[in-house]
Amino acid sequence: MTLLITAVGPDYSLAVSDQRVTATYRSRTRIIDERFNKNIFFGTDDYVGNISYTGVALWNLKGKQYRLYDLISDAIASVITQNPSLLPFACTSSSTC
Amino acid sequence: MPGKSVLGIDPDFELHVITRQKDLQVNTITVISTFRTAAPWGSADGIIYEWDFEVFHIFMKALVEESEVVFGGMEPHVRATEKARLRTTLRSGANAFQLSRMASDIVGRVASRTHTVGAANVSIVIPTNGYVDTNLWSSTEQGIVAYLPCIVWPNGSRWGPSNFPVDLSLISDGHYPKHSLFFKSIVQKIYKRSLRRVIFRRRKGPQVPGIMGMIGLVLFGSVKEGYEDFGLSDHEA
Repeated sequence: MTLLITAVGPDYSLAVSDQRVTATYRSRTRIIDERFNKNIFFGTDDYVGNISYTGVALWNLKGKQYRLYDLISDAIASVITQNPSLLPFACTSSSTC
Repeated sequence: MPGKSVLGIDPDFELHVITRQKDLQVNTITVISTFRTAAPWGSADGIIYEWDFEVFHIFMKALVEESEVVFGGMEPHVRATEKARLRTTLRSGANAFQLSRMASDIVGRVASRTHTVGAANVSIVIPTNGYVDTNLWSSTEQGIVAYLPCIVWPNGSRWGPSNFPVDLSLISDGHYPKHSLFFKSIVQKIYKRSLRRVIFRRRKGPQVPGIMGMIGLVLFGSVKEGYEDFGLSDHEA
């Protein structure tokens, strides 16, 4: 599993993660990649962002390989094309949004 | 995602999502986790949201002037003192390069404590005003190569991951930005301390951050209006 460190401040946001990918088979773990990037950057007309992830990276099911990286980026693309807005998050509970 | 019976291990994952509004000074940090049950926040600052979907939890915080640092995945291997130091450093006004180096140092120490974490790590910076910046590069026999992460554009199209050759002489001659995480990480790696001080002290040329700035400069021939260097030039490495 990856170590994720995510920081947000007034001037910038920062996502830091290690790049190691390991595979586990029958309780044995081996390193399969030392330089894998686990970040996906995205943007809409209203905001920009980044997703970093840790956990199960890929798996095989019925002869087909699935990668979490692809699933996340597909999900982002799907959400972005629906053009959501984060404007309500700028409102306080006492204001009308 | 398939269950443990298919994968052989628990199908756990955690996502860290950061967003920055373009027009409003509102930043969000969201943690989506299948295994985390307690909020990851280091402070009670900001507007906090939480949703429990049984299979996974969502923890979200909206920030304006406040700051926050969260740790995920192999967090149990990060010491409380290391977490506190990073949070204090951010609140004290450290720039993105300084915070990136400190976080990178923590990753390196955690890598020495558990084999599932590697010492190699990557930083992605999203400034208040400007382009995304990374320290994703490597030195090859053909020279320095920069890497871009996967990018999802506003129209939903995906780009990358991609790599680009980088002419280091163009950077050091002053044609390219000097205040980026990308540039400083290269200088940090290949130049001695005394030379680094000289290079970082020079503050000439357009302040465009990183490989995205370079691409923008090449494609459009100008620096984005109102661009700021988000504090990277304020301090020496």
